[in-house]
Amino acid sequence: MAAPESGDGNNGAARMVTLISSDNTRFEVEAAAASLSQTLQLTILDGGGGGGDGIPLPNVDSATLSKVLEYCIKHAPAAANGGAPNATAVDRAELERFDNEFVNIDQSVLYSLIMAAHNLEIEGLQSLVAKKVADMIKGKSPMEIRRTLGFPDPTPEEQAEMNAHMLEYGWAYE
Amino acid sequence: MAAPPELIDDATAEIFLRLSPDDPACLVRAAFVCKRWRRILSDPAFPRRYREFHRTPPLLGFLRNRFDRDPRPQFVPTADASPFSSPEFDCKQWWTLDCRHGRVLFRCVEPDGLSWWTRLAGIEGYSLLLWSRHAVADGIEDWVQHRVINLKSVLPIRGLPTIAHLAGVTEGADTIFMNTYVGIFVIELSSGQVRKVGEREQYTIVPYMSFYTPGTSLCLSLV
Repeated sequence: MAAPESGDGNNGAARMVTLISSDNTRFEVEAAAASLSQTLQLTILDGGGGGGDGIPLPNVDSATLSKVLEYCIKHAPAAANGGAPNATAVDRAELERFDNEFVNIDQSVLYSLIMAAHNLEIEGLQSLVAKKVADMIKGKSPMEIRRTLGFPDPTPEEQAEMNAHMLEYGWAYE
Repeated sequence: MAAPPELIDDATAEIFLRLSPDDPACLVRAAFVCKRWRRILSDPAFPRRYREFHRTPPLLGFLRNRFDRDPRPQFVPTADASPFSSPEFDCKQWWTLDCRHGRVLFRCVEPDGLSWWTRLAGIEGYSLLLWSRHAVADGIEDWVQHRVINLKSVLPIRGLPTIAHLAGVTEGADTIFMNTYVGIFVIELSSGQVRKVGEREQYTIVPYMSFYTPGTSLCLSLV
């Protein structure tokens, strides 16, 4: 792994950094993509993550990290243009198509992504996954929401509480 | 028993932020999912974040004065599932004056003449005239007429010998309330959408706009 020592990444070949998942898998990725993470950005600016060092991410497993990096790699060019104000309609449509497909995933993966986006402070990804879950909740009754998000069945105590609320706010369950 | 344990409160709140203010029932239903969600939603920090995130509050209904039938002000919901189904006003002889930032202002005696919105919009024959503030010279602003709406073409008042009364304008002036003999109509200026929200009112009505998060109630103040 021959990453250049210099920090700015403007000297020809793109600077690479290495990220290490909780289960010890190493991911080599362009510094620009990894820098979408506010958490990693400072470390990378300080020249970290290059060479054989790598940045350990004890809270993110390899399956989730590979998904996160897929997002970062796709969005890095637009982010480098300051949110891509000059992006063509085609570029924007392509990113939108990618985003829609990206969150079309199992609920458990979605939850892991929410936590990873949160820990790594990747704003666009946080927003994308939160919006997806909000769309899944929209228009559903509390019980349907529990089922959709894979909550365990309510305890008798919880069920009684929900019934009491239901009487009070019947319209919220329509 | 709560949400899958790996989702922390802050990330859960991020999800709630993205539930639309136009459908306030969503937040209420979410508050009934489990204790943890209810705690997050009723934390005072959440309404603050929600307001900052969405900025413009939705129209939830209007307040009306009906001194001839009931001296208490009444709230009439216009949202599909209004959280304020029947707020109790335990007061008498209050005149609804205004609503800003989800707070309603009342007065004990009749207001005198012009209210604030008459400077934003007015009626001339069957035309609704709209003004807005524009810079007319260096550092000087003035009211400039920027739009004329033909009421005969948007309200079902053709052939009626009556005029339509401008009944209220929401904060930001995007929604206009018209009081006519055939009922109260709401005109959304951005979309041009018109809908009937109630029967004709004799006295003033005041549009009520507010974010609704679980635990919210009408805020009242008296002058």
